[in-house]
Amino acid sequence: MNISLVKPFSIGNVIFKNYTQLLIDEKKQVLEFRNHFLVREMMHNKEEIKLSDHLCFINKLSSDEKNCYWVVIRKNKLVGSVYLNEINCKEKSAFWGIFLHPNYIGTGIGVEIQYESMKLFFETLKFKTILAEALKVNRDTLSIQSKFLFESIEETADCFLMKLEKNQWSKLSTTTFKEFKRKIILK
Amino acid sequence: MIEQIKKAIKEIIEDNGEKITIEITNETNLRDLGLTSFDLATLTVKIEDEFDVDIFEDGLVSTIGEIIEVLEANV
Repeated sequence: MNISLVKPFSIGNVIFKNYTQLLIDEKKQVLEFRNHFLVREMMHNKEEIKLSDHLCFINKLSSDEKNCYWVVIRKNKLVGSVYLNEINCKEKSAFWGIFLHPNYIGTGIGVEIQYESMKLFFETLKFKTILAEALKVNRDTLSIQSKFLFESIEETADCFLMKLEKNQWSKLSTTTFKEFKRKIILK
Repeated sequence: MIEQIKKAIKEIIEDNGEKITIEITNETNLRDLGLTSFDLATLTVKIEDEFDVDIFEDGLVSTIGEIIEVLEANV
C-alpha cells in the first residue's frame, strides 16, 4: 500500500479517522457503541468488550499491517466505524466491515457510509477486491450489498461471504453520494 | 406536507410488496415503518424530487415530524 492508512480521509460528507489517532474519549465512545446490544447482536463476537482489552487492541493496531479500523465522523458526530481485516497488499484485497452507532441504526446512513467507504477503498487506496461477510438475519445489510453489486461467493449456515471487484464498483461510482442515490435507487 | 411524505412512504412500501400497518403521524419514527436503509435513501430522493431539499444534508432525522421541520425550514 503506497498511501498511509493512518491519516484521516475526508470523502464526501464523512471523515474516516484511524483508531490509532483517536483521543481517549473517542476510543471510549467507540467501545460504548460497539458494546450496545443492537450492535453486538449483528457481530460474530457478541460478548461485551472490556475497556482494557479495547485499548490494548487499539495499541496493537499501530504495528498491524493487516488490520485497519476507522471511526466515521459526519457533521462532527461519530456515526459509526468501518474496518479492513486480512489486508493483502500484493493482491490488493481485504475483508471489509461496518458497524453503526446505535442512534443511527435504521436511519439510512449505512448506505452513505458504505458508498463513501467504497470510494475510499477502491478509488483512494486502490484496492482491487473487497470481501464482506453478512449474517443471513441481517436483511438490511444483504439488501445494501446487493445494490452495491456484491456477489455471494460462499455460504455458511448463518452467513454469506460476498465479494465486490473494482470493475463492478466502477459501474456504480459517481462523483457524489447524491448522484449515486439517483443512479441506483431510481434506475 | 405530511400527505406528500405519506404518499412517498406508501409507494416505497408497496414497491416492496408490503402494506403500511401503522398510522403515520408526526411522531412516527422512521425505524417503526420497517424500511430498510435503502428504502430510507429512496425516501430522501423522493422527498428531494418533491421539495428540492435533501433532508439528510445537515444531519439525520428520525421522525416524520423532524422531516417536516427540515422541509419547513428550507422550502
